[in-house]
Amino acid sequence: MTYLPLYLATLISSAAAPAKSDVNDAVKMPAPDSSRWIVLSLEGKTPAQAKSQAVAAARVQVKPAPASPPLVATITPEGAVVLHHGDAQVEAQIKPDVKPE
Amino acid sequence: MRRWFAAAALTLPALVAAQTAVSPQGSVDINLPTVAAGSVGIDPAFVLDVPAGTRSLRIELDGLGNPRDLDLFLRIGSPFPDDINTFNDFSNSADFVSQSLFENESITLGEYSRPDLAGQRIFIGFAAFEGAASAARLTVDASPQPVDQVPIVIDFDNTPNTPNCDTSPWNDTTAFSPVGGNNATTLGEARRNAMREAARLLSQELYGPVMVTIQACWDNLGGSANSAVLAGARGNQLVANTPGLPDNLFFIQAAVTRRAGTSLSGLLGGDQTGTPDIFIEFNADIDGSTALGSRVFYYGLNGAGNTNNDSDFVSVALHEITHGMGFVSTINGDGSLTGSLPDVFTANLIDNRNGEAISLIDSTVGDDQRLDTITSVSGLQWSGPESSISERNLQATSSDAYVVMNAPLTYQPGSSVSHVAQNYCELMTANTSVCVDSPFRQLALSRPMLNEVGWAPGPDRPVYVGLMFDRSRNGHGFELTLGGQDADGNDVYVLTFYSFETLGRAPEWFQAIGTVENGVFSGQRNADRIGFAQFLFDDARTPPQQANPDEPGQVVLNFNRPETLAACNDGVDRSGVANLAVLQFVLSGQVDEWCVEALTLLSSRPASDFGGLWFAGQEDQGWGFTLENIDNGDATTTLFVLLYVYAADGTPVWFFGLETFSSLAGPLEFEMFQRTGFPRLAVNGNLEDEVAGSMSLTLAQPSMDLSAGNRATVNVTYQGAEGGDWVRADVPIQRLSLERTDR
Repeated sequence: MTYLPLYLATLISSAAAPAKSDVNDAVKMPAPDSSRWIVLSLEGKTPAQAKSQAVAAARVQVKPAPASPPLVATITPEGAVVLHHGDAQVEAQIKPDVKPE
Repeated sequence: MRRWFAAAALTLPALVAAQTAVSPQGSVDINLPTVAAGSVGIDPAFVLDVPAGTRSLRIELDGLGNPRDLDLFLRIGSPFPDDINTFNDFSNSADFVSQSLFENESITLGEYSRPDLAGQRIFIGFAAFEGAASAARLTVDASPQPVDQVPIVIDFDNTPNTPNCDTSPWNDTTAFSPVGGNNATTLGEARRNAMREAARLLSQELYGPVMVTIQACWDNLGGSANSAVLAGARGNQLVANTPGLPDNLFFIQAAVTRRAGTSLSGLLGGDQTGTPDIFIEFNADIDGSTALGSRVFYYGLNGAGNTNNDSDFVSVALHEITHGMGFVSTINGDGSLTGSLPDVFTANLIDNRNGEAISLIDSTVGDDQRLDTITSVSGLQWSGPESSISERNLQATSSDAYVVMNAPLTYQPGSSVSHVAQNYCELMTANTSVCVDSPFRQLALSRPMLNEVGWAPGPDRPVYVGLMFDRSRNGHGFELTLGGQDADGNDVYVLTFYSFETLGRAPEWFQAIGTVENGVFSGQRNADRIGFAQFLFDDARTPPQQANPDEPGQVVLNFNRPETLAACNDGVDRSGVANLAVLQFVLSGQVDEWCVEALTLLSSRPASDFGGLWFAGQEDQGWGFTLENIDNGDATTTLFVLLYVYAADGTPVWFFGLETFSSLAGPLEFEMFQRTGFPRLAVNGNLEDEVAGSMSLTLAQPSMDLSAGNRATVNVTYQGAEGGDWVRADVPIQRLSLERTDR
């Protein structure tokens, strides 16, 4: 045997992805028995308060996102436009010593 | 068995014993009961079996025009518990919620929400608040199509939440001369077109079902002839501990709602409409004559015709929106973290001043160390594996293969930390002086970085365990195998790559060990910062195989929407491929990306699957082999063995054998071949095989027990100049890998 292909093409799946379902062919199911509903007290809370309490109980925390500072355009003496956020002169002095290899 | 909720019941509930199944594609009408003020009716008893092949699932609850507050809850894998006594119990027992104050709710899940969505049983619950008996409709669409690109909408008019939000410039009627593909006839229309183009460019690189809203404003921010503010932006808020995301980390609002699959109102309860995800503000004075003199905004859509070197509006807007999508850290100027929990952007940052890669959210890192890092010039780095190995990372091939972030010696509010270092010519660079002539209109490096702050598209399929290859590199390939779990219970994988020398044609192999996070396997770095090792063998030391320090490789195997990544967008039709991924690696100082696919069919694996990585136990470690077994369906089995051993000089070489057997009983004899091929950076080239010896296997059972009766005899000779025989006589072997199941 002088050549053994690792490319086992015949073994590679050629199964096509299933076709997208067509929601227009929706199956309408009979309405379930409404007697199964469970009615609970909100214990004096409004729906909004009950939901807020549930969110808090799930330990969800929220805080304002930090603002991105303004993007500044500075025209160099050569006429180029440099975009930056902080002090352009400070930034221009400290090119990181990182180069592609 | 369900029980009465007598303590809280205002009406006597009759609990249903059986659950109602709903169709994966269809709708069901629901009769809602009368509920008095101060109460809520719940029904937790619907069930959906998600079909195999489902990649996205949308469930909607529609009040059919009745303005009654309804909520929707999903619980995956197990029914809602019996001991629900309050609304709080019900909501918190759900895995996903949509509980706004409105009559319509929806939840859309993608691979990023639950990679194991297909095949799951989902329990669906509803809540109905005060109201007379009415009807609602539940609609389900389990689709084989993935979640589409994220819709981003710009609000050019709504101003109630932001002071000084002038929207009149969006409607400026000043005549506009079309430029760069922007065919507007008024300045206001040109501005809106350019803003929409920025949103479109971002949208086409991110995926999600929940609309991202941007409130876009103008203000007169002034400026001089040589310097002026162009724009600023911020995301609305950070949110922690929500469905589909890791706990105890803050994520930006837009990423949170995407993962949760519902609106902010649905996620947080109440009415959050009118609260955009992102605020952005542009300086109206730029288009005057004072700020930046005659330089105005360039509104072209394609960059052409900017003859005045004007400020490119599209790239400015794209940069600012990207901040609003989560490209921002909460580290303060004194090194402290805001709040009790860190944010995910900061979680990707490391102190790598001394090559130690210390996470900036590690409990041992104090404010002083963070401050020193963020003012260290080059020591502040981004550790996300997908970004680090990106071809866009200037440091990808160095020993510090992380992305360098902006860390000026003097802290620059907003510039420091939340941008990549200024020598990167990237959309999110701190300073564009290195690429002033190349305004950025693509995410580039920012795309994997956004993936790592909550925007990962999610694995296309479960992680594929087995042999994979790139059809453009026929003859190279690798095996991903599951080796066990780490102390935290995470699956640990081993990736063994068989290839050929970059500068020659000789066979060589590499190995990585690591975990999968967000659909991305990454090789864990050792003490020498090597994540993809070339092992050298010396029998005189322990262990005999040790990583070559002169070959600092790195590797990532990315299962996240590979069809959207450049490597798989090479014009090759892979539409029928069941398992696809992108292999990104650094070897021999080169970065490369391959589009890889499964070499064999999952269905071809025999019931008794001997496939996986094998070795000869701890007392004879350093060598091993990959075994693949293929049930041919005709009572024969094809075995493919890849043997990983070493040449006489200790360098790693591999051999292979391929035989078909009518029975696996008794010794299985293989003629072994050595292959010479073509460099990794080339595409399909010549492959030449020559006989190099033999191998014999006795396979008793696919076991990780060395005494299970599996044995191997090896006698191969490396045909290269190094020479060397690898001989083992009837030694016991065991499988290194666990049973092969997709994860």
